[in-house]
Amino acid sequence: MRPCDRNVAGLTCLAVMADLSLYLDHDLPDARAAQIEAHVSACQQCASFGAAFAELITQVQERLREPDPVPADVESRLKARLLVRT
Amino acid sequence: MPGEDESLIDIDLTRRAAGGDREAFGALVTRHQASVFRLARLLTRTPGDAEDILQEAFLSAWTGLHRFRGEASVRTWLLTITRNAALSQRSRTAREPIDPTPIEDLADLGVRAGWGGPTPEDLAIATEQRDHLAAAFAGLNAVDREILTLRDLEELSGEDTAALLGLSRPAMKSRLHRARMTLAALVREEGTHATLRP
Repeated sequence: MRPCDRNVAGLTCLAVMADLSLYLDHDLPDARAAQIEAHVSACQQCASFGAAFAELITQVQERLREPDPVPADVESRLKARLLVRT
Repeated sequence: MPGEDESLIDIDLTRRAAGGDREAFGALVTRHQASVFRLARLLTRTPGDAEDILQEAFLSAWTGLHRFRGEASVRTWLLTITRNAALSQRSRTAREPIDPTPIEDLADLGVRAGWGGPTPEDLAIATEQRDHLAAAFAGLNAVDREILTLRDLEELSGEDTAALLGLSRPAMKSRLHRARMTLAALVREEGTHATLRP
C-alpha cells in the first residue's frame, strides 16, 4: 500500500512526487506548477519530502561538483602528441 | 555552468584552433580537461582508461575542429566526443554495456527515499553528511551517474543533455528524475545504515 496517496488540489501525492524534478527544474507549465504548489501547501508529507528532495539536488550540485583532479602529466603528454600531428 | 563570456571565449579559441593555432587548442584543453576527465572516468573502469579516453577525445576534437558548428556549446561538443570515444572503446574491448536504469516503480523508489513515511526528515538529515552523499552517488549505476553528472554537476541544459545521450527530451527528463529518486533512496539508506552502525 502506498503510504501517501491523498488527492489534494486535484493531484495525488504520487503525481506530485513524479513531477518533482520537472517542478524544481522550472520545466512545468505554469498551471501544473501552481497545482503542485497548492497540493504541497495543504499536504505536510509532500511538503517535507519535496523540501528534502530539493535540498538533496542543491547539495549534489554544490558538494559534488568539483571533479577529481586530472593527473598532472596528462595535459603535457596530450600537448606533446598534438605537436606531432599536422 | 559557464557564463556567456566563457562560451564566447570557447568559440573564439575553437575558431583560432580550427585555423591551426595550437596554443588556442591547448587553452581549450586546459579549460575543459577536468570536465572531460570526469565523464571519461565515469564511463571507464580505471583512471588509466580514462586518461586514454581523454587523450583520444581531444585528439579527435583537434582533427574534427572543422565539424564544430556551434549548435551546442564547445563543452557539450567535447563531452559528446568523449562519450563516443568511451563507448567505442567499450565496444572494442567487449566490456559489458552500461546497464540501463532498472525500470523500478517510482513509488517504490519514493518509499525508499522516505516519501510518505513517518520520518521524511531522514533524507534531509542524511543529505547533510557529505560522506553519505558521495557514497550514495558512487553506488548509483553508470547510467544514473552519467545523467546526474551531465545535468546536475556539469549543468548542461536539458536540450544538450538529451542530445548528448541520444534521448528525446521527455525520455531524458524521466531518466533524470529516476536517477535523482534513486540517489535520494541511497542517501537515506546510507544515513540509516550509519545510524545502525556501532
